[in-house]
Amino acid sequence: MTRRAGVKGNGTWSTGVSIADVNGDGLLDIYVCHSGKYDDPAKLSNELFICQGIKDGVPFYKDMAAEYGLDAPGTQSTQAVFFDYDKDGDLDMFLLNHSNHTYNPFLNTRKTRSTPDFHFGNRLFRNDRDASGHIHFTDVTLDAGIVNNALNFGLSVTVSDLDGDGWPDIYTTSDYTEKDCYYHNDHNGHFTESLNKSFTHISKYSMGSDIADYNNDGRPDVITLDMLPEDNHRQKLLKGPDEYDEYHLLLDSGYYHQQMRNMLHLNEGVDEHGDLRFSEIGQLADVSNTDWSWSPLFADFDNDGWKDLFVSNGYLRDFTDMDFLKYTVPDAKIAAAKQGNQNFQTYGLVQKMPSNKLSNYIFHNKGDLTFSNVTADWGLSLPTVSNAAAYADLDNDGDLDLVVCNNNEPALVYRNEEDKLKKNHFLRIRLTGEGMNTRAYGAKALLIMEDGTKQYQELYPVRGYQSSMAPELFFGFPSEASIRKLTVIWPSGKETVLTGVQADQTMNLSEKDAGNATAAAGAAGRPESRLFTDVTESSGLIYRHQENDFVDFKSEVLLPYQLSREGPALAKGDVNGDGLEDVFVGGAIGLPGHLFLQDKEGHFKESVRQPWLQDSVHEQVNAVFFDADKDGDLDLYIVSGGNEYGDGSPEYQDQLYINDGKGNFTKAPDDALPPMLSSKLAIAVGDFDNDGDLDLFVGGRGQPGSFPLPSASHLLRNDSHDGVVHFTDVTDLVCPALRLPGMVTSALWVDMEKDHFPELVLGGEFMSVKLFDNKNGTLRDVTERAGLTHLTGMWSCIAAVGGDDLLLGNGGYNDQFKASVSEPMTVWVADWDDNGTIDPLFCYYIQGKNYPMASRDELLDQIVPLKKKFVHYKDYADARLEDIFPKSKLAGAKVYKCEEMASGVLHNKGQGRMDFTAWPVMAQFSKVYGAVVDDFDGDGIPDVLIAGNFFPYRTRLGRCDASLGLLMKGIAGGGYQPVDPAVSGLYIGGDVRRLVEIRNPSGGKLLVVAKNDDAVQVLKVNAK
Amino acid sequence: MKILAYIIVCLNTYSALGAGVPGGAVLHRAEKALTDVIVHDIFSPPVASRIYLYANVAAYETLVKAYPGDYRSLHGQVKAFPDLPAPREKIDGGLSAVYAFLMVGKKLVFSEGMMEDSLQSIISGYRGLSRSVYDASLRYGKRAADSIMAWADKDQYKETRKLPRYRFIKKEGKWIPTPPAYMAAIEPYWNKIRTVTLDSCSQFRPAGPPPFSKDTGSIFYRQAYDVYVTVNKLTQEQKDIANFWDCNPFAVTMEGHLHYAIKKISPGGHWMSIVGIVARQKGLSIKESSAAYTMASIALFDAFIACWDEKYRSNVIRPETYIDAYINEGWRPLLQTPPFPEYVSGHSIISQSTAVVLSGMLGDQVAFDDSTEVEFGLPARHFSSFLEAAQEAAQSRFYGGIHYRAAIEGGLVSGDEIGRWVMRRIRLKQ
Repeated sequence: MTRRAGVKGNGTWSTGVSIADVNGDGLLDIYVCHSGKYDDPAKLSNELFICQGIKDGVPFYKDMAAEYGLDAPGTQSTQAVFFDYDKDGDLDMFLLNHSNHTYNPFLNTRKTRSTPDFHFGNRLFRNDRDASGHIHFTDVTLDAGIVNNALNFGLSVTVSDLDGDGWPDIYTTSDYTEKDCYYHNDHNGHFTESLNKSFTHISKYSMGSDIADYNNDGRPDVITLDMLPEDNHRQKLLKGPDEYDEYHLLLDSGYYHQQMRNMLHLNEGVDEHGDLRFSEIGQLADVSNTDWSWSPLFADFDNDGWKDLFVSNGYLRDFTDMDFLKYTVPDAKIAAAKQGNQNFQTYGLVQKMPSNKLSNYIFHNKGDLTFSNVTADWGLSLPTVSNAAAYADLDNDGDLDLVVCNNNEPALVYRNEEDKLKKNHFLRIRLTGEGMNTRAYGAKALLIMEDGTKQYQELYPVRGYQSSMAPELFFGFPSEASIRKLTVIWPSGKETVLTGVQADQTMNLSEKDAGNATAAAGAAGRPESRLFTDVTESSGLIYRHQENDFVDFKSEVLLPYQLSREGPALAKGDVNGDGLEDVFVGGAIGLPGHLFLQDKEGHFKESVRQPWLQDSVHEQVNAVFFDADKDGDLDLYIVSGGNEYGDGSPEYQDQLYINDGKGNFTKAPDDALPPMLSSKLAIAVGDFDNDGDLDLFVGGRGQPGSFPLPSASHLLRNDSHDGVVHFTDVTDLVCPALRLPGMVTSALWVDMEKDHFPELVLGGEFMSVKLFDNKNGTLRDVTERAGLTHLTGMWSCIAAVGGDDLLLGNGGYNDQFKASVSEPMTVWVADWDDNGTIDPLFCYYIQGKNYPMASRDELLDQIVPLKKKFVHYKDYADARLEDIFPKSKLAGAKVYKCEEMASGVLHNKGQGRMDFTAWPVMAQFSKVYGAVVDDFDGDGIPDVLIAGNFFPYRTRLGRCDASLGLLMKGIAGGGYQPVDPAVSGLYIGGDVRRLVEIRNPSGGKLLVVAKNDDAVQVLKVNAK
Repeated sequence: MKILAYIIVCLNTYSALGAGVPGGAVLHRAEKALTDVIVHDIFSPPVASRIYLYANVAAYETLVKAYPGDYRSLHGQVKAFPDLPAPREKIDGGLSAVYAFLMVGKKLVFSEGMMEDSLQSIISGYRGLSRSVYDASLRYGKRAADSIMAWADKDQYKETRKLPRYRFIKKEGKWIPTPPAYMAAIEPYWNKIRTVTLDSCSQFRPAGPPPFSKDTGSIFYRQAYDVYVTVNKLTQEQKDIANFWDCNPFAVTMEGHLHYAIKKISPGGHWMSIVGIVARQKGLSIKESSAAYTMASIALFDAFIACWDEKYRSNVIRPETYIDAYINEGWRPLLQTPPFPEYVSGHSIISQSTAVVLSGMLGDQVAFDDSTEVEFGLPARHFSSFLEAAQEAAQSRFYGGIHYRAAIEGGLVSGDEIGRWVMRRIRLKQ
C-alpha cells in the first residue's frame, strides 16, 4: 500500500529508515535517508513522511522534511535516530552520514578532521518549537560537540543511556580508518566524545551496532560488527603481511586501537573517576568471527529471558581477498593490455566475480556471558547476501519474528516457532508518553523475576543497520518463571511500578499514570560503599614504568607475542625495620626501578638512595625482598630478563643488593651470585635444604631470539656465612630436570608434606604445571604422578591460597585461539628451510582442524623457500602443516603444547595428586598475572582478587585487555562468586603485570598494581 | 622433400644469420619471458636486478665458451668468478645459452611453473636438432646454470633473508612508511650483497642530502616546496614522462574495501628491455646481444647496491611525508611513493650507470623508440641516445612527486661514476 500511503519517495537510492512520532500528534512518522552518486544536492535530500491520518485502515503521509529542517540536502545519509537528548519532552534527531569516497588511512589529517563537513559528517538536530507550536529543527552539531568532518563513514548509530545517569548517550560507528565515537551526554545540551576513556579497542571496519543489556546486570552493552571470517580458508585469503608499523603509525596519529573483528563491549559500570568502563569480550563470547557482517540484533528469540544475537552478513562480490589484490586484477590488466585493450576497468572484473553467499548467524545466549551458534538448529542457515534486518512479533503470537533484507533477492521473513516449540512466556509493553514524545522513546523498563533475576531494556527502536524495530518493548521469560516487579522509568524520570504482572499479554502504559522517581531503581545504581578506593594520587607511589621500544617481531617474524614486555618487577618488604612495608618497582632497560619507603601516615616517598640506577642495562622483570645473608634484614634480589639481548649476554645477570638494616642497599660483590646469563622471569624463595637459610629458584623463560625454546633455570643454594653472601648454582647437582623445565613464568615453594622440605611448583608457557617433590633436599620431578602432564597452559602466576590449594593464573578465554586436550594449541619448532635457524609455527584449531596461525605473507617472509610453493593465497588457504612441510621435517620437529587456557585452582588431593578446576567465565577475560587472597569484604571468609592483562600480542590479534581486575568473594562452604565491579569499585585496567597487598600503619590494606609501560596504581581496601 | 623443408625451417627458427653465430631473437624472447614472471611475482627493483644479472651472465658465459673467439669470459675479470670449462660435445650454443638463462631464471623466481612453460615453449624451437646435439646442449646449459648459481649462492642474498626486519627510525626527517599501504621498507640490507665490480658498496658514495629542516628558508624546505608546486601544475608532457618511468612493480589502489594492485616492469627491467629494443634494431647476434645484456645487468646490479647503501644510510623522509606534515596535509604525489627511503633516486643512479655502459658498448648516439611500456598502457617514447633516456628517467621522479632534486642530481653523478667504473673493470670484447 506504498502508493496509497504516499510514501513512494523521491526515487533516489534510500538507505536507513527511522520510525518516530516526530510532531507529537500520536501518529508514527517515517524518516527515510538517501545517499548515492548524485551531483544535485536536492537529490541527496532525506524525506520525512509525516502521518496525516488513517483512512480505511491505511495511513497516509506527506513529506515535510524541508519544512521541518530535516531534509539535509547534499548529505549522504546512512540512518537517523530520533531521541530526546535535552530532555525537554520532544524528539531531537541525530543524522548519521558517510563520505562520498573512502579515505585511505592517512597520517596527517589534523586539518581534515578538524574541518566541518556538513554533507559527510554526522549532524545533530535539536527540536525547537516556537510559541505557536510550529516545529523546526536546528542544526546544533558543532555547538553540541559532535565530531564532524569529511573522513566520517558512519554505518550505524545507536542511542542508549550507557552510564545510567538518566541522559541518553550516543554510539556511532565508522567504517575504514576513522574511529567510532562514544558521545557522553553532559546534561547541558553538549556531548563529550569519550571513546578512548571507556573503550579499550574497537572494530576496525565498524559496520552495524546494537546496544542492549545482554547479561542481565542492568547495564547496556555494545556490539559492533566487522569482517573477520569464521573459517580458516577465508581468513587466510584475507590475511596479508604483518601490520606492526602501519598499526603503530595510525595509533600515533590518533586513530586508536582497532582490530578487524566483531567487538562485544560488556558494560562494567562507572569507575570512581566518573568514566564508564567496558570490557571487550567478543572472542570469549564466541561471537567475534562472522565474516563481513552488517546488522547485529540483540533480542530474546526463544523467550528464555536472555537476549540472543542475530547477525546478518554477506558480500555481493568477494574482492577482499589478497589474490584479487595481487594477481586477479593486475594480471588481467596486463593480459588485456597485451591484446591492445588499454581501458581495462577493474569494476568490470568485479562484476564478473561469482557472488559468495554466506548464511547469517544466530547465537543463543547461554546466560554465562557466552553464546552458542544455533544457526542451523534454529533454521537460519540459508546462504544469502544480507544486510539490514529487523525483529517484531509480526503474527502477534508472543515471539519475535525476523525480517532480513538481501541483495538481489527478495527479503526473508522468518516466522518464529517458539510459541510451538518452547512455549515460554512473553510480555509486550507499549508506552504512551506525555508531551511530544508520545511513544516514550528513551523509556527504560526493568523486569525483576521472582527468583531475583532481572532484565533491562530501553525503548530506542533504531538498532542494527539502517533499520528500526517495532516501537515497543518485548520481554521473554521461561515457562517456570514469574514476574515479581515491573518498573518503567519514563524519559521525564517519573516511574511506573507494577507488581502482579501476568505473563503473555500486551500492556499499554501511560506516563500520565506514573508516579515520582524513586531512588535509582534502574540500571546502574551507584552503591554508597565500594570495597576499594583508588588512592594512587595521594599515596605518593608515583611511578610510571617506561618500556624501551624493542620490537621482538622484527627479529622473530613468527612470534605470537613479545617476550620483552614482562616488567615491571614489584617487591614488597619492610626494608628499614620500622614495621611498615616498603615497595620496589623495577624498570625496563635504560630506566631502572625505584624503592619507595612507607611512612607513618601510610604514604610513600622515594628512598634517597637508589643504587640500582647505576645498573640500567638490565631489564628488571621480577624482584623479591628476602634475608639473603641471615642478618635479620631484607635484601633485594632483582631478576633480569627480556628478549633484547642475545642469549648468554652479561646483561642477563641478576642483581643482589644487601641491606644494612636501615634500608640502605649496596650491590653485593660479583661472586655472591653464580653466573646466570639466561633470560629469566620467575623467582621463588624457600629453604629447600632445610638448613635455616633461604635458597632461591630462578626460572628461565625464553631463549632470546629462539621462541619457544626455554632458557636456563637456576636452583641457588644459599651458602652465605659470616656475613659473606654466597649462592651456589646446584641445579645440575640436586635436580638436573630443573635446568630446562620450560618457559617458566612463575614458581612457588610450598611445603605440601609438612616436613620442612618444601616442594617446588612451576608454571610457564607451553608447558605443564610442574611439581617437584622434596625429600630431604633432593628434588624430583613428580609432575606425571601428580596427574599434571596434560595441564599445559600459558601459566602466568601461582599463588598459595591456604589449605594446600594453589591459584593458577593463565591466558584466559578471550582470544582467537582456544585450547583443549583434544584440540591443543601447539608450537612446532624446526629448521624448516635448513638455513641454520629454527622457526616456530604457532598453530591452533579452527572448526575442528589444526592450522598454522601465520598468514601466507608472514610465513613466506620467514621461511623463504615457501615462496615458490605458495604463489597464490588460495594455495595456502587450506594448508595444514602436513601440506606445507614433508613428513620427515614434521617428524623431527619439537612440539610444544597448550591444552588449557583457564585460570583457576589447583587442588591438592593428597597422595601427591593434584586436580585443576577452572574459575567461572568472569575470571577468564584476560591473562591473570596476580592473585591475592584476603578477606576483602570483611565477612570473615577469605576472598580472591585477581588482575592482569597482556597487551603485546601480534597487532592482528590485538591487545588482550578486557580485564578490569576481579574480586571473587568467598562463600561459606567453599567456592567463589565474582563480584560486579560497580559494587566492588574494583577497576584495575591496563597492562597489569604484578599485584601485591601492603599493610599500612593503621592496619589498613593497600593493593599496589604494577603495569607495563604505565603508571603504578594504588587501591585502598575499605573493609576492615 | 616436405620433411627436409620442415627440418630446415626448424633449424633456422632462431638463425638470423645462417650458419655460425645465431641471431639474438631467442635470447630476446627469453628475456621477455623472464621479465613477465618477474612482474607477475612482484620482485622489488634490487632483487629483480639480481635475477637479470645471474640469468644473463649464465647465457653469456655459455656463449663465450660455445663460440670462442672474440668475446672474453668474466672469469679473471670478476672476483671469485667460476671458470666454466668449454663444451666437450657438439652443442648448439644458442640453445645452451638460452637454456642456461631460463634455468637460472627459474631458480630465482617464485612461479617456477610459469617459467617452465616459457622454457619449454622457447626450446621447442630447437626440435629440429639431432637428438644428441639437443641433449648435449641442454646438458651444457645446465652445467653453466649450476656453475653460475654456485657463484650466486655466495653473494649474501641468503644471509640477508635472516636479518631482523627493518625498524623505521622515529625521528624528524627520517623515513617512515608511506600511504596508502604503508608497506615495510624493502631490502634494508641490500648493501651487504656482493658487488660484481665495485670494491665496496660505498665506493662512489653520493654527496649526501641537504640537512633536514622544517625552516621555510632552508634548502630542504625549498626543495620540498619545489616538488609540491611542480606537481600541482604538471604539464601533460611532464605527467607522461612521470608515468612512463613509473616502473613500480607493485602500486596499490584502495577504493573503500576494494583493494587492487597494478604491476609494472621494474626500472631494471625497463633498461633490459631497452637493450633488447636496440639489439634488435641493430640486428645484433646472440653473442653481441648477450654481451650488451650482461654489461647492462652488471651496471644495474652494482648501481642498485650502491643506491640502497646510501638510501638506508641517509634515511631521508619522502616528499609525500614531509609535505603532508609541514606544507599541505592533503597533498598526494602523482606516482605512488615506493617503500624505501628517498636519497638517492634509484632511477637516476641505475639509469645513468646503465646508459653509460650501453653508450660505451653500442654507441652514444644510438636513437631508439622505447616501446617498453606499451603493454602497460603507455605509448612509446623516442630517445636520441641512451643518456637522453637516462636523463629523462631521472627527471621523471621529480615530476612524479617522489624525489627532491638533490636525490636526482646525486644519483646521476654516482651513476655516471659507477658506469665508467664498470667499463674500466670489465672488457667483454677482445
